[in-house]
Amino acid sequence: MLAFLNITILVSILVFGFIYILIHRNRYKTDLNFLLLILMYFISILISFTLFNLSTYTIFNTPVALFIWKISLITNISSIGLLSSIHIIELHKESKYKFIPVIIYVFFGGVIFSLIFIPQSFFIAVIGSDLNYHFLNMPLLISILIFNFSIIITTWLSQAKGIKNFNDRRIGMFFNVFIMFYTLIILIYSLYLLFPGYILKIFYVLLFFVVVTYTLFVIIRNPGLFSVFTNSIYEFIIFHKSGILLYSYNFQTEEEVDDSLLKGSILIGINHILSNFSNMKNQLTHIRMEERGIVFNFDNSLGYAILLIAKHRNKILETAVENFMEQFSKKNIAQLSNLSGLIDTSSFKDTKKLISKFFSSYFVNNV
Amino acid sequence: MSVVSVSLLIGYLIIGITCLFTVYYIIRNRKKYGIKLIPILNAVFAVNVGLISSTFYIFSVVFFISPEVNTALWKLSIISGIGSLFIISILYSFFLQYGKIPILPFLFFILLGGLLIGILFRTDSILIETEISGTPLIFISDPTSINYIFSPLTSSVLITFQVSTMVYFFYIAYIVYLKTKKKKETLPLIINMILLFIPIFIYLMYILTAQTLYRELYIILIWISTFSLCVMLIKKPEMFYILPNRIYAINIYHKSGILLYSYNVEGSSSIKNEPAIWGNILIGLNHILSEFIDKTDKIDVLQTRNSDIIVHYDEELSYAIVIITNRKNVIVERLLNSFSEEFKNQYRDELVQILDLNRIIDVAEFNDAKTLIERNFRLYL
Repeated sequence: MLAFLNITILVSILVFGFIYILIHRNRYKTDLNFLLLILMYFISILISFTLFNLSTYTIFNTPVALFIWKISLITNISSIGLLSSIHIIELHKESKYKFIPVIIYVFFGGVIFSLIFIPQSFFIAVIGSDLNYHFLNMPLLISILIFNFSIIITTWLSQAKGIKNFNDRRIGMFFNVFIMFYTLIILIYSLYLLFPGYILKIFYVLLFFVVVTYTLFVIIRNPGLFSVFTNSIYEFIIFHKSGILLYSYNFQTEEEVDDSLLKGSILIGINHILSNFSNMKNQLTHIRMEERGIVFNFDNSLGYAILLIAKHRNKILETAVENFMEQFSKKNIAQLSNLSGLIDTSSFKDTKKLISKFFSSYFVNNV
Repeated sequence: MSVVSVSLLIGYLIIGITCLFTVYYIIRNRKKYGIKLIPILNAVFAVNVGLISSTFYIFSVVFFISPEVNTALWKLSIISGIGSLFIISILYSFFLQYGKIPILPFLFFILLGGLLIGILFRTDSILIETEISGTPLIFISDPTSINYIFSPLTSSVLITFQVSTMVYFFYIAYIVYLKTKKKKETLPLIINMILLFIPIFIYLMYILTAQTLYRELYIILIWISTFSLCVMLIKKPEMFYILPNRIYAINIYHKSGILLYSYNVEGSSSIKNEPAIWGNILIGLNHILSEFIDKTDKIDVLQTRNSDIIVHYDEELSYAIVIITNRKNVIVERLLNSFSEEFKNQYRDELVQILDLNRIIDVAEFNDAKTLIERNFRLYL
């Protein structure tokens, strides 16, 4: 049976991708919520595709097939709505209006859901082993088409407006190709709803395989894809409480900054901070600037601080800095405990390895 | 023409005029309402309740056109009523945080709104029951002779929507009450919530029992609560400013880090202020950051677990004003800017003299800043 073959192929592709990512999960440094959303998307496309195949072939009797078809329509709009929402929200993190498209999708989702269960909404034509569903409920068809076209338009608008927000041009290119496929799938699906038939169904199924395979391929090849979606690190600086730079790395030029000279302003700043933080009852949690995200962690016992300047501050960066500090302190405890008089910063030269371990996804040439 | 019809028509005219006047007042005095969105939403709410929703209601209940048209008008009155509740929910959210709409409850409301609109497309969603026969063009009828019966699906979605919004209003009012320093200030909000709760409850009774008395009672009560809301909007526009935002302290620093003036709001814990420490930390962080990034991008907010520390710099006269508040928002920032301007004008000579770091700073010269602070931030002190 063709339906089961299609489902098996998709399940195999997804299971392979899932197992691969599970085995290499340490490489995927991403926010758990974001990861769950992506997982939800893959589950929703799996359900939607399975139900589509089960309902459009003569596997079940007509009432059961019709019920499955209705559920497949709902899961289809959920999956495309979910993907478009993730794309828009992630790409326009800073925008006040990022939830407006989501609100539109949810509203149309509600309308479609209540229209779909009106009796006599479909006429079912049985042609060979195919079941074709012709819409009798015009408000339902129109709502689905409006939903699909609003998804295409808002996703492209979001991509065009947010292309500059991508950390790397190649990630932007990947999304251009992906959205092109995605648009094509929605168009073919909409055409199938308007003119149900064998050719469009096969075309839709094949395109589905291509898009899922392409997406998984890109995710597997670029584990940093989600952690650096729109974020960049500019500077990573470690300095001693005396104001001396112990180590500095510029992520944009990908060069270690060989400057161990005492910087007056850093000395003033660090003295101000370290002499006051220990007395603070209300601990500082965030520093916000208009155009940058700052992660500032300090180790009072070993007397050094880390300053990371990025495009956005987020949980991934905070955790990475904490993990880095733990390893850095462990590795350099002897040097840091005895830093006085003349400080030899060359003993911190191999810090690059630690940076590569925790922040490799943010190297400009790494994606 | 029945007495009920005449009463409803008079009520319709009164609420229509009141809402129009309120819209006019809001447009004329829009700056009093804080951020731009608040007067816009209030004006849209007044137009929706006073004109759109009431018109659909009157034309579907008091006038009889045809069963189909009356049913369609009744459905439109339901949709506009839902729209009004939705706008009120947004306005209530602003009492917690300006310009921020909590996305999850609103997605739920939107979903229910979408479901309801989809259901109303069904011909059996609402059925009209009328004793009027024949084919009149339009005539004023006795409202009790027209009744609308909701299908179980329509009733359940409508009831879910109304109950959810009421729960949401209760929740917001409760949180605002807990967080507000002067509990008395929350009274208008609580009265407003009760005035909203009663008509919604009556409407639920109409959906469940299909007694026209509840329907007429509902519209009269909703007009009364809208009237009271209009009065509140006109008499107390600053309500959106003060609930439930709090300012704990205002500190003014010289570029050297010396504290020129510190104002602790009565009742605020000194733990939250620590003026000397914050000045030093701010200067320290800016010194460090200035080595790595361009000078124009400075720290604008420091966050701690309990408060936001908003920073305003004056490059010309080299001082910084720091406000310690429970949450940064547009209104506090706006007040901060206007205070800074007044401070600069009043103390220009003193500030110019101490631009030279070798001069001794006499902080006593800035003692009168208290008057300026109390004038600019009076709503929060």
